[in-house]
Amino acid sequence: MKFFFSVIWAVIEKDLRVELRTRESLLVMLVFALLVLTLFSFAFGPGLGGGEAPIQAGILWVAFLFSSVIGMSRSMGIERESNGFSAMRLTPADPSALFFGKMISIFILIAVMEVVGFMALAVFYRAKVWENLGALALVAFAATIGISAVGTLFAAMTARTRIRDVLLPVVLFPLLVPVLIAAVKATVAALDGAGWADMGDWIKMLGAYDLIFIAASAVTFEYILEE
Amino acid sequence: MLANLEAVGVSRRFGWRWALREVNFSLERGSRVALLGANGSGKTTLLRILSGLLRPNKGEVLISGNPVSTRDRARIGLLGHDPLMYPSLTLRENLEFFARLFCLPEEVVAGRCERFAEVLGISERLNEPINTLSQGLRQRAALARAMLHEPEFFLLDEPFAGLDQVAAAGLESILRDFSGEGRFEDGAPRSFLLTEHDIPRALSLSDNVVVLSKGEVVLRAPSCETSVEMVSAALGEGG
Repeated sequence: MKFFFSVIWAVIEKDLRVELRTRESLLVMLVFALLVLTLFSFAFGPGLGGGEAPIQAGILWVAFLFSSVIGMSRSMGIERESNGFSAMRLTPADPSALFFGKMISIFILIAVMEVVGFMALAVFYRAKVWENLGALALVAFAATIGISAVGTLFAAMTARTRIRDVLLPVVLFPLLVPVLIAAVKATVAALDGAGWADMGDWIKMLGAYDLIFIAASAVTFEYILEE
Repeated sequence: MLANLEAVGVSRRFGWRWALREVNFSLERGSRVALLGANGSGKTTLLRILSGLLRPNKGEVLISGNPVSTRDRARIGLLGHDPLMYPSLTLRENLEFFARLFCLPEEVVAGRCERFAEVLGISERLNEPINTLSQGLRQRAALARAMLHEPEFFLLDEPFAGLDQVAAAGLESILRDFSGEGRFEDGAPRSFLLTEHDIPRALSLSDNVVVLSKGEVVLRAPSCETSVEMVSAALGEGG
């Protein structure tokens, strides 16, 4: 068990170190998310304020999803270019530990991007982010786990194909529809200051989605590492 | 009984083309085998199957008589055409990362990195990113990665490719030491399977030679009883 966690930590540390050196994923993710949020704020005008939580939440999560796909694609691109998956497959490391390592490092990148995204939402849309920070953090956490789990699996699966940049969003977005719906609904409830009664069911749905896809992805990741 | 790495009736197909057909092969502990063949004869495919990177369509790979498990991968080291390292990380960071995936104890990792880097003449480059190293130095870095966990079986796919004469001579002397005692911490000799296009070099480095042609074994003989002409003839017959 100690070896399992040591492998997870090794992969996270390696991925973050590569990201610090290359700055290939996070920077593009941040710029893209901010661009989408800014463009929509121009399109709707500054009047989009109180009472418009559904639109704010929709824009926010669509920006997060697109931005996450860019990050996941780049993260797997690094593995593809260095044949990292082949190198990992030559080791006795448990494939599910490798999956969790990749998933958590992608989760961290997306989470950093989301923090900046929420701040932009507060500034550009005058959304009540600071007042409902705890609830929004819970929604973002549950949704980001689902996005990272499914995204890691499918980004790894499509990484070796020639049309990976097109294929990943085409495969991934239909699978992420439940996350998008639940995240938007729960974010609306959080921004409106509603309690657990209104957002609880959506959070539970995200939790169930996370569990199912983490389990399925961890089990199938071994076959994706094969050439 | 000595441990051995075996391919039993291994076949592998890419599309409609069979890269390997019913190959039977055994690498015994402490032995040195040269695998020869023209381009496209199936040498690299066999090495990738033995290392666990590829699954055969038919047949199986056994280690000490049992199917190779995830844990058994620590007993095999592969040096392929690609260094299999992260270009933006330093050599030391790469070695430390793979050492952790091989479950090496923290206290031995630093020592192993230093020792193998010294053996391979790259200790001064330990803190340099892989993408700043020359082709020859990358090859040595890749060999350090393959040696790091001190596997019993080394699979070396054209290890001399891209090396200058001095580096090639250094690598030859390292490989001659593999089956001797004392190179590795446990003192036990290692075996290697080497693919090489230079027939005289392959014969001089190995105890046994296996020639592949069109995915089939066409010659299997002790190296001391095999001449360059015999290998060339076997390659010619197969082709």
